[in-house]
Amino acid sequence: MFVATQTFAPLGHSVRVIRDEEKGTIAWKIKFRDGREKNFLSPITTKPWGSTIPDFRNEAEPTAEARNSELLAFEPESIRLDDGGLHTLESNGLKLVEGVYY
Amino acid sequence: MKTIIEDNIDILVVGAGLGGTGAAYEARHWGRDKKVIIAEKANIDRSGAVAQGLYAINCYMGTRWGENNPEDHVRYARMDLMGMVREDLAFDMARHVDSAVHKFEEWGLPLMKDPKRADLPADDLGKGAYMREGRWQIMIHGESYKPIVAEAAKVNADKTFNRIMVTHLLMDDAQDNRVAGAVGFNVRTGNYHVFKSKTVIVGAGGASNIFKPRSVGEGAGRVWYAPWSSGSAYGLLIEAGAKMTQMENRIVLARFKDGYGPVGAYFLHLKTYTQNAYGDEYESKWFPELAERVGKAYLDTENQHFSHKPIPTCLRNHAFISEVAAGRGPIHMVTVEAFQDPHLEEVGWENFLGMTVGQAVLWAATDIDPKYINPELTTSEPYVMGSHATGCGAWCSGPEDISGNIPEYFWGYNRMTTVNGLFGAGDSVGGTPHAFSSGSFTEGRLSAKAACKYIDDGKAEGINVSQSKLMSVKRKSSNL
Repeated sequence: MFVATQTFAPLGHSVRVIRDEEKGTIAWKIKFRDGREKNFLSPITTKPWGSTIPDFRNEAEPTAEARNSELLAFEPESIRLDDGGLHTLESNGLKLVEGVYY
Repeated sequence: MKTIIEDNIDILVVGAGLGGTGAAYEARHWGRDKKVIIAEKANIDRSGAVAQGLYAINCYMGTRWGENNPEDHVRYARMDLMGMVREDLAFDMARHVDSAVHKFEEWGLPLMKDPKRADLPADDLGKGAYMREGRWQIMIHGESYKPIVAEAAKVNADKTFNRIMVTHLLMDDAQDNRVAGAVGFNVRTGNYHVFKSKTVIVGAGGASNIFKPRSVGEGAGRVWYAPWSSGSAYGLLIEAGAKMTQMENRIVLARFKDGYGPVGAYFLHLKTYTQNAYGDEYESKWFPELAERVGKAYLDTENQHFSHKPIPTCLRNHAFISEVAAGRGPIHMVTVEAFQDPHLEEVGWENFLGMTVGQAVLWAATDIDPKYINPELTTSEPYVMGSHATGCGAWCSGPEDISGNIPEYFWGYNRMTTVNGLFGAGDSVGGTPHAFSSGSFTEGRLSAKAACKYIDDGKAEGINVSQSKLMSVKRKSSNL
């Protein structure tokens, strides 16, 4: 028996990790104190590392219209992946109420 | 100790967790020629609350599949916080957040797909709908969530200063209440850093360790939120004179005991449930008393099920604490049923391995296999933060198209605090709970676009910090 307040994680166990950016995977091997083992494998990325991140300096300048709108980069198309626009109070039939209400 | 001065910055990002990375990325989109600098206390690849990984994205609307509209999320957050939300900011975050998540997937973040939803129309991403954990949460393989997202900030910033702990903001000489940069020191070399900047976006973290952690003995130091979250999100803003909101709010969480493993995927996806020491369901016993205290608007025991209203987190925690105080603890999570399914067992373990590995270590060390033993839960110590189920932070301007008619909610620039040129993201923005990782990234993006506009509108002209002021700030930060 171990004293729970002092050594609640006694030695004799291990959690081994192998993380591989080339393969895009991470592998864990868990060893319990009593010798049981469990193995798990997960993806960490689906793309070659960093290959799909845009450097905006190489992209076309945003338009003045976009600057004056509420849209962020790649919007609105990246929100719904269709022709739909940005949700607004008007488009959703809403009204903002001032102050605290119940 | 050297003094290193970085001058002529347009946008200084203080703290590059999910909020700060979103800010640096978006700042480059709207400010192609602007000087964008990041000051990060750790290393951007593994910093902030997502440093170790995260196995769910807890804020995703799914508007592309017609799952939710932004106002649904506002109602949910409002209910969970018992009314304490800035609805304009919450709506704004929710209407943009899906675009951030879609970009994360494009950048390589493995989002789990639900085979049962493969019949949904294929689109650009093509592979069927995301695996839902709950109404707002999707499941991911997120051990490398932070390094993937950090790439987007590193590529687009002019320079990322790692290991810089920002201690104070600089204020302009000429105009009261206008920010002019920040100072800090390198936690490895001790070098003193001065950043002179037209705008500052504070993406720093909330506060762990204000209250004594419940972890004891050799577990001391283990906390739920990032142990390095030292409350800079608030310390920097309060000293600069920013108006704050909901700073009296505290978050307490139900977590697996000692390891602080999160319970979200267990409750929502694995369908595990809690019981007291006698093996009884206890939560609903406390509801009539709680309903009397908070009113039917927040806890309607008869109609809760039909109205699909969530029970506010604080009330569920209250039931937990009351049950333990009544002598019927400990509370256990019943995992032994769900873990007989090999798929669910795998999800349960990977959830911790890729996010809070200490919980898996603890189970291995104590021979707790949740397939055969129901692990114990406890409630955490309280935290002050603003992006999980709490909304502590600065009172910020909303977006013009939503908040524009209400002066108390709008003063020109989205997510700008009441200090000119000083913006927030993530934990530093008040009244926007339930942003989580994706929402914090989104808030960073909103701040950055507004900061670019602030500069382009000429609001940052003629900023200056006198040598004498620099010296006095240096004295202050050296005497910490």
